[in-house]
Amino acid sequence: MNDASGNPAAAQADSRRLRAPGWVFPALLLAVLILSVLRFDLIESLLGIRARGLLVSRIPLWELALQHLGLVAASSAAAVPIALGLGIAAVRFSESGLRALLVAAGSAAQTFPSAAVLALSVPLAGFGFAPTFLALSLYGMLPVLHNTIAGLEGVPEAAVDAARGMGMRPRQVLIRVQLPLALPVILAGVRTSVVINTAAATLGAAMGAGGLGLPIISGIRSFDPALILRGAVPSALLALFADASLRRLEDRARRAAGGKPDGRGA
Amino acid sequence: MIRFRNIVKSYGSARAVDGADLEIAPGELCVLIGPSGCGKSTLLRTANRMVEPDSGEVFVDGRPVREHPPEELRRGIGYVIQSVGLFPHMTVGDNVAVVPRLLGIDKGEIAGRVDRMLELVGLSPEWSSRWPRELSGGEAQRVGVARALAADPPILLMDEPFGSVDPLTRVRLQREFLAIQRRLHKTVLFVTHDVEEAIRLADRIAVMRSGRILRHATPEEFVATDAEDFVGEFLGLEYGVEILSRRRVREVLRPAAEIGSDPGAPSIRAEASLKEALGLMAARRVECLSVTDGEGRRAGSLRMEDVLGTWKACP
Ligand SMILES: Nc1ncnc2c1ncn2[C@@H]1O[C@H](COP(=O)(O)OP(=O)(O)O)[C@@H](O)[C@H]1O
Ligand SMILES: [Mg+2]
Repeated sequence: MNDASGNPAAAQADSRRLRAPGWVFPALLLAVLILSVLRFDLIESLLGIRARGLLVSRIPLWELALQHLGLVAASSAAAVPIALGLGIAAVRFSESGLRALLVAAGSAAQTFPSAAVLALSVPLAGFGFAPTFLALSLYGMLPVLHNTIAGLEGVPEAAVDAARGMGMRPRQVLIRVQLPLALPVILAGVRTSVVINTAAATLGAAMGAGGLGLPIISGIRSFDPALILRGAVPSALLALFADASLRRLEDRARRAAGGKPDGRGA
Repeated sequence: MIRFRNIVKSYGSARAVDGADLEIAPGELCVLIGPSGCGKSTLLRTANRMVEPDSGEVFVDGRPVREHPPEELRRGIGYVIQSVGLFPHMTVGDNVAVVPRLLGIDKGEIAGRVDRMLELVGLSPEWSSRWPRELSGGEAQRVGVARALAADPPILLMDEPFGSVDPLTRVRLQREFLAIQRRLHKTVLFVTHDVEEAIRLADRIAVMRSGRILRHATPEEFVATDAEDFVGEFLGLEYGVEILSRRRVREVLRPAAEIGSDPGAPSIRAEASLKEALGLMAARRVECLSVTDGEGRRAGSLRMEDVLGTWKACP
């Protein structure tokens, strides 16, 4: 197609050879994450700092990390399917006003500080895991809902028209055409949701839900930056890992949706 | 085969279709033509219930379409649109196989059918594993036609199917489609706003304006149209020349035996159209051409009066 830049096939092969396989970066992040929760002292000595230890929790860091992971995983597992379902319903029954309602509610909720959402869910669900799970689930729904609507509405009109005109039932149009084509955008919403919730879950410590927020809160109380890092660094690494691996999934979905040449079938 | 009876469809206060009547005989290729926005697509889409008319009735095979569940009706009617609407996440083969799969035809049969359909539109079976993004506009349109024909529907609805390709590709696609139609004899409703396309393809032309069918006749019958009224004005004064593209020189030539030779007359192939012949006469300022057959031998001559007299003799 563009011979100006030399032989395109050769150029493509070159860039493929030079680029590391997609899983290398997420795997690297995972390794650093695991290392950081097992041997945070290594990172501390690398930075030349040490937590003073006044308020250091007796719970080991890896256990806090697992609690954190559990919170994020559970809330995302609840948020994603619900938001996906709501998004599909919003687009399918857009005349009913459901779409307008959900978009308005979603935008309003997005402007609400996550700390306040967490605090307000305590009177609803008590103390501990439940209110944090509830708040994170609600909060995590927003990007998925938003992207599901945007993704479905972004599917080329012609593809949907052709699908209907060829005799697909509404459900077949959704499953065979609209969802596969919207998937990259929906997955981008899932990624945003998981990354935001990984950070927001640190607030769960104040609600008694444990997790990597615990050292952060203790560090703030005892003016101990090193202790804050003990929670913040693994939490950030977890968010980066989630971002990198979900991005990979997203790229794959984008290729499957026919968006980008990848040499398949060529 | 398809009959539209007094179809009315409004969007808000605007009438997109305003009492349209049209009947398409079995095996006939009817070209629906009219200015943009006159309601062609809306009328076409009432035939497969993509649009439900406010009043009036569409009959397919004598039965009102509203008696069929829309999905089942649509699976029996081929549908080609200007934007093609190939599914970008499916290979060419999977695109072509969509309707046969919806109909539950078995796998082995579908694979063979996909290959046959691709061949029909001039693509080899290897195209089956390609992706829509790898296709040129013309190739995508071919796949669109193959997809519409895959379940062998007796009826085809084509909404400006060759509207988005370059003029050369367009003429080639028209010629190929005409060849397919001569073999398959589908009942076709073909929408366009291009007069030349209508003349090349149509068994009958229906001229539409402001939601109504003004006139429905063979392309030859339109020659006698008054240039002053809307139909004549829309078709344009070139219509009388364009219509000559439907006939070949060999159909009207005077055999060499009948008349003497014309030394110095420019020569033209017997397979050329009368429009080309007239063009050559105009360019060379002559009233007589020497006609050659496929092997380049002289087959006869063609006079301007023969060209001008042709459509009078048409049925
Ligand atoms: N779904 C729709 N909603 C509102 N107006 C429409 C819709 N479809 C068509 N129209 C209007 O109806 C008229 C006829 O449209 P159409 O049948 O697409 O015309 P054509 O195919 O002849 O260009 C146009 O004015 C168009 O704007
Ligand atoms: Mg149209």
